[in-house]
Amino acid sequence: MNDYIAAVAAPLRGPRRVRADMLAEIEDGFEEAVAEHVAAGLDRERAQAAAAAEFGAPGIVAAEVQRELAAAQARRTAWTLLVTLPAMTIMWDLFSGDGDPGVAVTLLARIVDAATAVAFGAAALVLTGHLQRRAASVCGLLGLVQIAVALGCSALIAVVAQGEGDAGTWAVLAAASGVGSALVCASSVRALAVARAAAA
Amino acid sequence: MDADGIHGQLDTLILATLKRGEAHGYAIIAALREHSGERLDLPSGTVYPALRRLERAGSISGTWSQASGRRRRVYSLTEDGLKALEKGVRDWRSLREVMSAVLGA
Repeated sequence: MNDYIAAVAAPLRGPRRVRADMLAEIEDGFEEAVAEHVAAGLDRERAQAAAAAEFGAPGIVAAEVQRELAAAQARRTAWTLLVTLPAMTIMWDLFSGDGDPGVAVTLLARIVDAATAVAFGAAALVLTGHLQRRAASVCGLLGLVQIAVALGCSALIAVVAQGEGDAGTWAVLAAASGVGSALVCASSVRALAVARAAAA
Repeated sequence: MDADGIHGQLDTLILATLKRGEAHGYAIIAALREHSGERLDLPSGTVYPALRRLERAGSISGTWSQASGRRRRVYSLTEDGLKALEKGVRDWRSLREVMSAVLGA
């Protein structure tokens, strides 16, 4: 990697493959520009300086690339929300039993459903292209809010429904929710970090 | 014309360039320079993220290809891109008319 591409690459954050792919493309073009200047009679060092002047300040190019990385990360996080949230909801519905859980548990479950619906809806809007501005921030934020609400309400449900249901069911629910929450959390945090880099 | 003056029109210029036939990033940059009579002075590195943005919008499609020992990402205009180009040209014409009318040129 030459100095110019390294300078463009330095501040970038986002999906590694997309980042590498975009940098490879810019590097190809940069080398083509250098080759043109060398063919015109410049030595390699001067040719690189001339190509760098043409391509523009690395910070300006990096800012535009970062915007694309944020868009790519937003789509990834949106997919994670779109797949993981319904899976977790179905798990809870399957294992919650047929008996009347009482008003408190029902209310808490509805709150989780509402937070899930909001995050799921935003993810769908991002993936259908209806939400583009700040897509990464929105997905990251709503993903974290959903997890916070779900964990908080689940803890309360566990307290309220204490003693009901067998330990095996609770273990399965806790494990499934834990895995799902970890996935959503990791992807959401990444989306927020990439969005922050794009805003900087 | 500098980067500020061209802001917002770059997409239309790229689409117009690709209407002449598929091309890779540096060929697009060279074509923009040539067809503008060397008057278009934009940081050419920003053309690459602009290409990704247009690809994401469905206006162009890009694929890596191996041509004469060199790996290049080649872009071509899509149906949607052709429509976007026509709209860009219409928008530019109406903006130009408004400017001319107000400036009394």
